[in-house]
Amino acid sequence: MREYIIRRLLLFIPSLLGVSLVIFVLMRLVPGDIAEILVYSAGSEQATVAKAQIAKIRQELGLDQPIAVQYVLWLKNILQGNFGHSYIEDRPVWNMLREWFPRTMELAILTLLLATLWAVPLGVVSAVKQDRWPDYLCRSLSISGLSVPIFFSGVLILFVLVRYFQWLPPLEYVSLWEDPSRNLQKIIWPALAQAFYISAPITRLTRSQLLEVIREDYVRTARSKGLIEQLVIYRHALKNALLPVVTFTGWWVGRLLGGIVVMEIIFQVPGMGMGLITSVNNRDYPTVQAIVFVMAGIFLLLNLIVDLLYAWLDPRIKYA
Amino acid sequence: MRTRNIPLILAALAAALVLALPARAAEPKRGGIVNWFNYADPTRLDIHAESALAHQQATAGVYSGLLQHDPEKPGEPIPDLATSYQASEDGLSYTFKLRQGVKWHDGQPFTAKDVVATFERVTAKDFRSPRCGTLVKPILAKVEAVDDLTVKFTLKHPAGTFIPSVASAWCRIAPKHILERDKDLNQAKSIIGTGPFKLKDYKRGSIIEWERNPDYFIKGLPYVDGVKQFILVGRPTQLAAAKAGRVMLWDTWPPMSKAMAEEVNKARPGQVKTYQWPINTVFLTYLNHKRKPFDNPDMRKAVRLALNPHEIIEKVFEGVGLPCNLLDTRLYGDFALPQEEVLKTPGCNPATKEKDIEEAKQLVKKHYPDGVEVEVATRAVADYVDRSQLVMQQLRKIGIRINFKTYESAVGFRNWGAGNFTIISSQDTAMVLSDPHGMFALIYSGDGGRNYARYKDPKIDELINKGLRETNKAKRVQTYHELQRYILSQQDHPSIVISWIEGFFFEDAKLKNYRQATTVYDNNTFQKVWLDQ
Repeated sequence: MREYIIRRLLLFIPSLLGVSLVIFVLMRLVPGDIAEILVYSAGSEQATVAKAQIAKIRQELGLDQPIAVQYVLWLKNILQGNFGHSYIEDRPVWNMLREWFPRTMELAILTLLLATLWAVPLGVVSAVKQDRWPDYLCRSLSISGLSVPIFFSGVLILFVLVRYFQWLPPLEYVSLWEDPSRNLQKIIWPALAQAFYISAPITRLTRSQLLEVIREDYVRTARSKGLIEQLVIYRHALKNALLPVVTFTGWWVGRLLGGIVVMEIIFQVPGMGMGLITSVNNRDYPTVQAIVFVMAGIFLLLNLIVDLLYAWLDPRIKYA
Repeated sequence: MRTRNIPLILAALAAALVLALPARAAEPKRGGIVNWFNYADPTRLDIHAESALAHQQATAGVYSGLLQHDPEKPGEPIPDLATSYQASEDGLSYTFKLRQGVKWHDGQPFTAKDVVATFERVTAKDFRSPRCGTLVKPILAKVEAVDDLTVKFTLKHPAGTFIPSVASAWCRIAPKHILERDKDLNQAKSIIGTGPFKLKDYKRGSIIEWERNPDYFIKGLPYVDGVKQFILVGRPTQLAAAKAGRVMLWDTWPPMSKAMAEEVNKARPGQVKTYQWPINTVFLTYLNHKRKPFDNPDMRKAVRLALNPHEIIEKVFEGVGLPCNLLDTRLYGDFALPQEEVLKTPGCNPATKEKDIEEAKQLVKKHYPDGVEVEVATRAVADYVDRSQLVMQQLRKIGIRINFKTYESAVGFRNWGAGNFTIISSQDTAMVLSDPHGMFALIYSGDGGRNYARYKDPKIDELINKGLRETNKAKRVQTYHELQRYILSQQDHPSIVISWIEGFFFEDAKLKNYRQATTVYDNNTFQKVWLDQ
């Protein structure tokens, strides 16, 4: 097991390098750089002055060097724990990540918690009451979760809160440690919108897995022993049915990071998603690279955790 | 009889008292917090080095200028840190007397050296100052401290824009000791001003807070205890905050649409005031006169004749906007040509539109009997794509086939700057000054930053320079009229003004004594604003 973990951790290195290379090249393939954005969007300088200024800014930021040189320099800095200096915020990217990361993680964890708490019982009800009205209701809910785009459900929540309750979550972000109540008042809504979306496939998978398991011989045996139905479902069937659900949920957390970008903007949560959008719009290369690097790292780590969790849940699985 | 009248007299007195109440209620009250919002996270706070409203707005109430735009009579420069100024007879030097006893928010005394440090900074050769620097660099030769409370500016030539520039919200005075200590004003710790508010907190991506400066040099001001600017990036979030009463005003860019204003009114009946206001922003269509087919003056004229600004205003701007004029009559007063005169120019007269379109068709047919395909481009921001659809529809009528391209904002700017376009269907420019020089220097001078058409006309440059150097207002008005008439007579000019933009705004009924300025940048200090609560 230890060897397996070490091997997987070592595999992170080429994966992260690959991601960093792709994002490094892609960002530079997009036309326009920070120097042009700064000068042209102001549009107040004379044309000749503007050109000279663009050249000067590029030189100051090292953007006039070949891409390969820039990449090697960036990698060298990363190895020394230096994520670079943000062009748009004029401060170390590391400081920005330290602020943003906990906010995004809090949102992601709350989303996952809400989604699981909601999706698994719904899937169970749906399976147990198969082809009866509770099943139809649960399936309709999960289909609507899948079909409503995440940005739409976010805006819809805002609309409903204002229109029918004349209330809006706090506009200012306060950290969980500073004021848990105000923090939750703000964070709960994007988490709900996102949980509604990701709970749909989890509900459907739980249902189908449970339907399969409750037809197994050992479940029939449990019933024939005279066990009450709830015990049969929760103690015998559900534990086995949830194995693929765990893997699937882990995989969805990766997708969740994409949705968080949208949620953070709609609900004004100053996390990595909002930072990513601002940085991409301003071609703030060091910040974009750092955020993508961190997100890719999280994704890889989650995959590893899911694999290890799988082995823990199913003792038949052994990692060599 | 007399005694019977007493109740009547008392009732009349009571009524008079009641009627007098609103007047008494208009007495400014103290206290309260103004809740406002910023449409973007400014991140860098250096007002001298930035150019977007988000940056200016972030610290607007923290700084003072030598002059400022009168918060109660927008557009009029009045003394701020200066008590008075005097211009030399030849218009080449200005001497400002400064207020005594003013302190920076960190307790250091304010002196003429701070003014010198500020203007030397924005005009320094190696310092990029896209707003204040661009305004004063071309005209300022020298700034010197005569004594601690007197500053003298020497100009390269007389300039009608000097006083409006000094009063601009971008030319605020920064402390010399902070500039020396921090080198820039990007971080919150460097934001030390002399203004009505101190910067209390800046939580990136979340909120900017100002608190009342108890030592403000105008005793008794400001009235409110503080201002909170929530950073609300998304349009739906901004609207939701307005409808829920979480923000007290919308005076930012972009303004609300009519429908949005109605929504806010409906959500908070009687609690808000909504209104229309020109935002000193002009919408143009640009043709690239160095590319086919617009290297041909006839084709440029055809486009001008085909475009219908009235239809665009009606359909895209919900009927509000000022078509065709080179200056907004409501903001530039006498400097602008009368609208009736402008509407007589070909292409702008609704009564002769059919005839104009027919003439345009003939012009296109003369050079391209089978019509011509042209690439129309716009940046995918605000309502630019909607406007472009109408522009394209109008061009199709005269035989121009369209290949439409939209660009992400930054890429669009890059292409415009490099002259890489055939038609830019929609591009706005917000003015920094409500002085006519800004419009012509930016868009019509040969090397103007927003002259994307890169069209040079020596006569236009000559008149722009004449207008700039003239300090007598009546003569300036005459020069700018001559300049406008000349540009309007150039039917093949590739920079075509479609409209001056107006927007919808709201204010909470509790918010008093707030006036929109003549540019989006001025009058964001809340110096004299108070809350009726």
